[in-house]
Amino acid sequence: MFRIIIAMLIIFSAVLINKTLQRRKISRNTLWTMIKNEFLVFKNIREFSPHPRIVLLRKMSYLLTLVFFLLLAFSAYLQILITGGPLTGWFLIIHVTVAPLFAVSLMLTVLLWIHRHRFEWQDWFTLRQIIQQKKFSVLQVNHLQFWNKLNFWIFIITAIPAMASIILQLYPVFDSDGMEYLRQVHRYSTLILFVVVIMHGYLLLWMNHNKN
Amino acid sequence: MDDVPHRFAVRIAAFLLLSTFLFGQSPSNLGDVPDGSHATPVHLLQLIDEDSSVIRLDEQLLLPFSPRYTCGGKCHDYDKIKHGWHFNAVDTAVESGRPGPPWIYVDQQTFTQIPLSFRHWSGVFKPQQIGLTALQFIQIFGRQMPGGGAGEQENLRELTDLFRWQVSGTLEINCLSCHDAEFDHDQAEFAAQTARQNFRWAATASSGLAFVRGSAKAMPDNYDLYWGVAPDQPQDLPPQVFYDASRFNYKQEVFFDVTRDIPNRNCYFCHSTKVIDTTRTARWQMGEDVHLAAGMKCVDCHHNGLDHRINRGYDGEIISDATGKNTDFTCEGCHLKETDKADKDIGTIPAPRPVHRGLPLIHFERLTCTACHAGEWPLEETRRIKTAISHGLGVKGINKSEQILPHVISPVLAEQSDGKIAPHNLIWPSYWASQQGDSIKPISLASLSALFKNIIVNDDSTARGNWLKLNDSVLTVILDTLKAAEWISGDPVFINGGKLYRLNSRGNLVTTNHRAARPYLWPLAHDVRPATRSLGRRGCSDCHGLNSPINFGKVEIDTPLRMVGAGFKRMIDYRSRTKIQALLFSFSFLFRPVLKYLIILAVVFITALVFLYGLKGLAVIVKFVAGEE
Repeated sequence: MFRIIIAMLIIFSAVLINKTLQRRKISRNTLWTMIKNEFLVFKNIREFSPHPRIVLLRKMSYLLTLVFFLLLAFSAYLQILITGGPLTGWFLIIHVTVAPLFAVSLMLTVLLWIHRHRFEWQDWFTLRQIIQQKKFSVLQVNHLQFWNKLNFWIFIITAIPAMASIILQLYPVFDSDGMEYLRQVHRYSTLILFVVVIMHGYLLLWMNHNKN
Repeated sequence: MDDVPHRFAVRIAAFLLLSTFLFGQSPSNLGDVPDGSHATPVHLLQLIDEDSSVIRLDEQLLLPFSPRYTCGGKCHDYDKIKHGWHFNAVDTAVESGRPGPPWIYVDQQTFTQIPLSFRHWSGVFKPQQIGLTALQFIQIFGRQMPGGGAGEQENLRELTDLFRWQVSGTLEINCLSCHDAEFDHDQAEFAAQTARQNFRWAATASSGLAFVRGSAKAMPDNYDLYWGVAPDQPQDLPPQVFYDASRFNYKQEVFFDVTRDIPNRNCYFCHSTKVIDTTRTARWQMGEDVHLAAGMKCVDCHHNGLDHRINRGYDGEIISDATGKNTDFTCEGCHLKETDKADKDIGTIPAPRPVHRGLPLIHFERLTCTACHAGEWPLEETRRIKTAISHGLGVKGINKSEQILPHVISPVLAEQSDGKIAPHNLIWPSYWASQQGDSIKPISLASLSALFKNIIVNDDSTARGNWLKLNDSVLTVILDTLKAAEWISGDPVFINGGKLYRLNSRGNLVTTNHRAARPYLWPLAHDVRPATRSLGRRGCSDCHGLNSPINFGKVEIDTPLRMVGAGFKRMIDYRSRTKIQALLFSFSFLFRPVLKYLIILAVVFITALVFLYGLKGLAVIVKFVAGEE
């Protein structure tokens, strides 16, 4: 079941991103430029902020969290998609090695980004605007920021059970039934995280396109 | 008038057809359908010989009783029973299931140690492949057989042995091997009789009802059972049976104390294991299966119906077409299976449900229950074991040397065909073969014996039953001699210790790897250790340490070749994972406490921040509700 859900999710996200790229006429070169621009900030860091180290740390933590998460998803989902069996071998080694790194980078990301992503009154009005809006495809900058904030909060809140469920499995607290429950919590909470990351990518495309 | 014979013939045919319909159905035998009573029926029976005649003590020529006619006949369906697991190895239609313990043919003089079986397990040889006829096979291995199978399958009999079979008789299924509850039942005597080719006398001799002397093996091919003496060999004693008259009542009946609830001691004759460990000398140090120590019997789990398709107890086993997969009488079936209320009423044994607190579920997906709970505790190096069927334990006069061949190595934590890791016993095949291309064909043993007498000099290993001394120069001489022999087609090779040895075109000895040299492994399930003696009881490091035997334990490579030396492989070599993977994964356990604390810190920290900002948001709502902007 979980294997099917993952397969469908990956196909859905691939189609979604591909369609968006086509609809917005974003070529591969443009996409590559967008990604490069994300890293340009490191080069001209002093131009962006009076506290370049913090900006650097913020950007670094965000990118690392993203990379670590994708590695975790890749190692877990690829094995499930290929064999349908449990996580073993190289995939398991990658997964358990990257997991603590992800936890640390996520901790930093939350610390450095949470204040920027706090909801304000303006967001309440944006939400009302979005609800009243009939055509979803018309996204404004404030809409995108709202969705991004929402993504951030869903991600960090879901990350708590995702990490807690795996760490609890490493202590002699739960019996086999409890372990199975924890495994399901880990599976489905990380699945939500995966969806959030996909949505984040989707929003990034919109935002970058709007900027350009 | 012409119609009369015709009508008569039609009536006869109709009568026969009706008779067939009415009486031709095979009704259940007297003892095959229980009437519901839990009491054991008294088996006071007349003994019947293989000619279907009742044995009377006053008769001149006394024949041994036939289990087929005494236990079968009216009471039990012998033809159905003979398809049971213990007797059906020769039946090609039977599913062989997962690899099981082989018969191991050993010949010290020719450096032969080769796993045999009539079943289709990969890595074993059919007896005929090494030139063993069914008669020879029974003579050697009948010691730990309950009869039947190759002992009575006529299509396995070689033409050359045809007269010998007439003399020895058929080795019928000896029901008493398992079902006899009397303490004077002597399975070792059964073994002694089969070694003397007294196949038809073996069941009688072991039953405690009679004494059998003489040897069919010593009799000539033209020996007549009813004549009694071999005309040309008056000095040799023909097989004779002497019944204990006190066991017969006035109706010539004998009491058999038989039971369906097979005593463990009967199973043990063929299913015992001894670990070769000089530090464990006392009997109590040998240990016992936790189930038996708790008062259970082997047959509580390994049970069967009338068809005697006894279940072997592993997950995924198909016992028969009718029963399908065995899911009830496995470790999981008893200890883990969820039963609803309706099932509970049937009366299955309420086995304790293991908690496995804190054990990640992947262990259940990658390991069999036996990996942690059965066999010897894995050490840095494997041990050698003796098993009843490979070493003839319990047989009279066996060599008790601890070095005696075959060398069975245990436990090896290897991967099964289903991908799960399970403890295995292992044997390195050692035999002479001819190679043609990639095909390896064992050389017939009879051809080898004469050749070796002139080459191999007995050394002090002879008495100990260990490998005789062999080095590269002797090996070269043997291979050279075999090369010159006309009766060998292809290049002679020696398979030993996981390698193939042959002479190259210059006559030099070369060693290569070949699949034929791979060891034969079969999973073991006993003795089951209690939870307090199971892998993991001391924590993850039992298996995930940098030197954990389950991964890095040394597996002995057994070989007489001194030039190779005492080599070894690692247990991880018998898995699909590589050494690097195992090492890296074990290495991660060194830092695991730190990694755990990092993740805990992250969880606590993120939760705290979420909580903090949640409270801030709440404060804003409270202010708004209070009328402040």
